[in-house]
Amino acid sequence: MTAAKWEVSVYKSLASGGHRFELDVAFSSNATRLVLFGPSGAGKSLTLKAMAGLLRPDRGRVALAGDALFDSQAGIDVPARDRHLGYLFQEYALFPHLTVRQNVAFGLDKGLRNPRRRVASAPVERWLETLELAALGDRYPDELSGGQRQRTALARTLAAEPRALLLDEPFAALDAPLRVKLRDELRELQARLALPMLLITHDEADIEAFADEVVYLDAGLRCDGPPSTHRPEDDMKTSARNQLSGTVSAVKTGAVNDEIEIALPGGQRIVSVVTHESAASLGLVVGAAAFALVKASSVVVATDLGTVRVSARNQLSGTVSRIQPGTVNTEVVIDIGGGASVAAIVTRESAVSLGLAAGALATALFKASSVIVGVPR
Amino acid sequence: MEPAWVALGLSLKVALWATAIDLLLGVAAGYALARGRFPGRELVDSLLLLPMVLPPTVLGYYLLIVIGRRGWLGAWLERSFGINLIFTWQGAVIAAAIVAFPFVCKSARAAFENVDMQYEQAARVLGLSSVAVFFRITLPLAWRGILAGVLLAFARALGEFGATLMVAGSIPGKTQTLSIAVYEAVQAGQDDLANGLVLLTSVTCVAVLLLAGRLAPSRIPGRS
Repeated sequence: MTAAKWEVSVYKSLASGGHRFELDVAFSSNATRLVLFGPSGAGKSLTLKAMAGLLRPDRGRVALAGDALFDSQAGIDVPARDRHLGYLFQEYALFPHLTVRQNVAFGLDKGLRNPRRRVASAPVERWLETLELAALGDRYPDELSGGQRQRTALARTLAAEPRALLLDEPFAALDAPLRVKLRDELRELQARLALPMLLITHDEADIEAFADEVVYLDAGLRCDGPPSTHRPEDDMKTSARNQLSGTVSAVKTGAVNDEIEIALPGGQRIVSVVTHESAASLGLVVGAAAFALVKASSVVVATDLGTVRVSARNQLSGTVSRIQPGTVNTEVVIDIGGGASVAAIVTRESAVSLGLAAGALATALFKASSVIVGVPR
Repeated sequence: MEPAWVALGLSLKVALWATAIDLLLGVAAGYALARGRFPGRELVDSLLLLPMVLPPTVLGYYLLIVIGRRGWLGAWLERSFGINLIFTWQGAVIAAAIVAFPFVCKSARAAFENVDMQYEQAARVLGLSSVAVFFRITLPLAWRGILAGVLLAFARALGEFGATLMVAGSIPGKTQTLSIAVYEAVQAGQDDLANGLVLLTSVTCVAVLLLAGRLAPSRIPGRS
């Protein structure tokens, strides 16, 4: 396969919750492995969706090796299903009602019925073999570890024989040691398949591992009004020790509650659950400035998660910057990067048994439901 | 007890037909409300839920206006095809279907709204048409919620009284369902028959609930 030529220029005006946003991104490259790098809220995911045909730009052009997938002037808009692109979603989007084998076989038959549980197909078995999933074929996605999920998603994507692979923060959902391992695996696989690949990330380590060329994106997504340098927490008083400001990077709408994801300047994310009503009245939409309040007593500290899997959606890793032992409780402050830190109150006993000391690696864990979301005035 | 069995058979026939109609229409309407973006969506939603709120007799009256011999639809049916729905079991099916419709529609809408659109997007990128995405992703993931609504609708159709009585009347062996037969038996002072009918109704309902528990898929599709 010859070098892919990526040609992307998309403009879209998005309105939600009374705010208006503009996605305005343009780049072109001949690199086989292209990395789109930028902070959360820069419009990277929206750009990828526009390339895949999941988001229709107001105007612009998307072309692969000179083959137009979208061109507003020429009136071209190839439907997503005919673009033959592989798309690896950030949380993998494995179909929860299908086994690993059915997931991998999914794109091979485009009819009205899902593949059978006992589907016997040579390419499916080959992909299961290639990605070390052969023993897991009958499992359901919720029975897999993070790494296994990613491999299943890759197998599902590659089995459909895409002409290029789009990866949305493929390692963000994994913990640090696994991230290193899977990065190596993906790099090796890409080299073997010689498949053009575009990866979006806010992690510089991904650039080092993958980039033949990097496109920097910092303000692809613009909000109306000048960006505020004013710290929202300065305006208010609360009993919550942790006040973390960032930008809303994703909103998942449910029947009653919305899930709000806030990207922090350091690149880590906070997930919180708020009611539909408050999300609407606060104007919590992608790109909006927001801050998260978390009580120090709600934060659990872990030093080595290893193979332990926990239900807490928020896992902010960093280094211990300060330890303040009291008579019963100890206050632990973890520097999570980007100038932000999280304070946690743990018992003195656990602080000692965990061996917490300044400079130690630690992760702050808290439930999405214990986060209160605010917006600057 | 012969009339009781006839009434039971009729009740089941009417309720099954009504539920089958509601399944098709309710799923379609629920999907349109959950995924469609059209003006007046919430107004349509409220209108579709009306049968839940209005007294069944009011619904029955509306139905008479529409499908009665002189109703705008009824007159046309009679003139063109010689079809008359009033005082027939088919009329009872229409009454029961309308009364039970909101249960399917409302639960289908909620179930569809709960399906993460990312799964649908992933399926589209893998090359599936919208119809295939619906039958392979959306419907299976929403199915449990829809089924719950369908069971409620069936139960509601089985117990329907007011609208059915107004539209289909109470003709033994033809339109007299269990719930209407109970009323007639009590009015006529036939306590033995009433006792039998009530017992039969209760046993039927318990059997339906047990069957429903069996039919429901054991695997709950998780959300990653």
